[in-house]
Amino acid sequence: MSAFSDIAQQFVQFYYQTFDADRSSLAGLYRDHSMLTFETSSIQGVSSIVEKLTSLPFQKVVHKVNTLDAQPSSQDGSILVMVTGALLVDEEQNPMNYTQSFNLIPDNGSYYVQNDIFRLIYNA
Amino acid sequence: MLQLNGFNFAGKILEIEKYDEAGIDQAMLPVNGSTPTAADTKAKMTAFLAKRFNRENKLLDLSDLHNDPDLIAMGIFQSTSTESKFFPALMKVWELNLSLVFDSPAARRRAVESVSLRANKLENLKMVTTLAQAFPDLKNLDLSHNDFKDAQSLLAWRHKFENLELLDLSNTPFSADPTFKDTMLKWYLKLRVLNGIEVRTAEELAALKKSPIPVQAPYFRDEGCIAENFIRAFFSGYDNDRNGLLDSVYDNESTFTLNINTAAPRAQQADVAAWDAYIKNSRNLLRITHLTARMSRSHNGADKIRKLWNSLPATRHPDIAAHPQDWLIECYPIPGLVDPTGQSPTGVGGLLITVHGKYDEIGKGSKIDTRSFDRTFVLGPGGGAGGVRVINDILCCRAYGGNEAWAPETEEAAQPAAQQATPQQQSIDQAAVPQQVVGPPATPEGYGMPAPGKSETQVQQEQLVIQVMSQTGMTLQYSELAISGNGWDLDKALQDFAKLKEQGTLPPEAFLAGTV
Repeated sequence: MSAFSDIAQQFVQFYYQTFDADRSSLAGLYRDHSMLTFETSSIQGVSSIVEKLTSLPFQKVVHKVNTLDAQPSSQDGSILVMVTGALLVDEEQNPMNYTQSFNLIPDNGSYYVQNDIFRLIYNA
Repeated sequence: MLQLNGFNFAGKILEIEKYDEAGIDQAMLPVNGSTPTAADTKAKMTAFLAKRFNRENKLLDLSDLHNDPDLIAMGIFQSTSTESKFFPALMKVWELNLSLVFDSPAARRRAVESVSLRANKLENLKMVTTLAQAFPDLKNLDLSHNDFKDAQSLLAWRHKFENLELLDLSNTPFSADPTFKDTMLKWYLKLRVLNGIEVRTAEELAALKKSPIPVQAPYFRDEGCIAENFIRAFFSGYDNDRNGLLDSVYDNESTFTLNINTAAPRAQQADVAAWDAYIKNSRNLLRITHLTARMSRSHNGADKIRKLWNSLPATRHPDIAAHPQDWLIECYPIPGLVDPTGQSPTGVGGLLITVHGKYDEIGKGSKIDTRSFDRTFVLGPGGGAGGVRVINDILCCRAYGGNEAWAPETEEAAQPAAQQATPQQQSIDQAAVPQQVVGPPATPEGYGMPAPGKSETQVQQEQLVIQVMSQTGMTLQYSELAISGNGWDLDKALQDFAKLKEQGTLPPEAFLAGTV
């Protein structure tokens, strides 16, 4: 029962650490039918997703998570994760606030990201 | 022009005796052998500020201070000691006055959009640096006809005035420096007009503002309007009949959790009401780390969800059809959900829906609090209304933050106007100079702004005309005559105007209504 919460928490920590350090390393989290929606660009497939993430027009980025919640989404173990937080890019002083929802699917003892939906919710 | 006789507005008359006098005492030493009292000095400064403050234009004109007869009479410029203390003291008096007139810090900040420090023989900002604390949100700043030699001499204001749109440093040695324009563009990211010349277009500013992440239309892939029908029914049901909604699309396998994002920023005007009704159920896994608390804050099955929902405040969400701009709704098909009928071993398809919007909380009494929310659903096929059931429902509530983040860019210009609470807040976003917002339209729309087919020279000339209008109070036609007749030399035009006005040869119709 508690497992999914811990998994969600570990996932979120790993995801943002990796995103902030080296976005291209996120490739292992996606599969070819995974879908990333970053604002309104919707991209399917590992290589396209990584290409999108690495081509985002900023160099430095730091995520700060404000809230994190998760629910088991089906009996075979998929997990719905919802995060709200703020990110600071490059020299920008004002954080941009966002929400991000992940649909995590179990796969051979691990999880991959089926859906990753990122949205800014407040313009600084 | 429209100068006030005193700070007698907003229904309050200032009483200078109320001020804390310590700061002024220290600031202004005995002048010219006599010992004016602090109250006396403040009274004179207040009168001076009232004379120099143009409330309608939100302009504080601190130009040419050395030639002001009142300041000369006060002996301000007789010693460098009094001179150096004068400006900080003046700023202090300004803030004291203002705090008596406007209750909220936001209103105080909006009271002045433009400051002129023109022609003050300034070589650096040492004397006037406190201006940046008094007016952090300044949009227009005139520093022209001063002696700033280089970027170094302005360095104290490098990280100030984040919202500066118009900066005039013409007739300073620095403005002839080849790095001048680039430096100013780098320092002031919202700068549009530098020395009377447009340096960023509205499009460039919008692009800067939106970068690095562009906003486009929402993603909505929904077969047979399943998600659309669900969303419409959901928020109407949540507002009006939560029990009925639970009966129709929630079942014993449904899960609902909520969390409060207290760190989210709020739109400027919003006070955040307390979260009492929510907080004991807030399931933020970053904060709620104990297993039992995590479990008790996860509401599984329609009955437990019902119990929680009936304890949460009543709500009113804006109508989706009538107010689409308040909503951002996206929908994604997802594979592999467990088939509740057990007929499909590989699972069935579902929908992942994300919703961002706002709602009014209808509490006790007449008080209505507006909040923003983010909500994520997973729907699967089921026996509920519309053939769906809610599998997951995660709600995040936060302070009202507006809808600007997802508003289509074309609608942005309309946004601030819609949110105006008072006439004082009239936006000058579209005006090249602040004077354009005053009273009846004194200039045609787009005047002084670049447009297709308009040459840069013409734009500059129109902006000069606007400057003449603002400084003389004359109509567009007369201002244009005045400046074109003087070879587009602003100084000559103003001298000419002063002469003609003294002679009384200007007809009343030369002036804009309400300025004489």
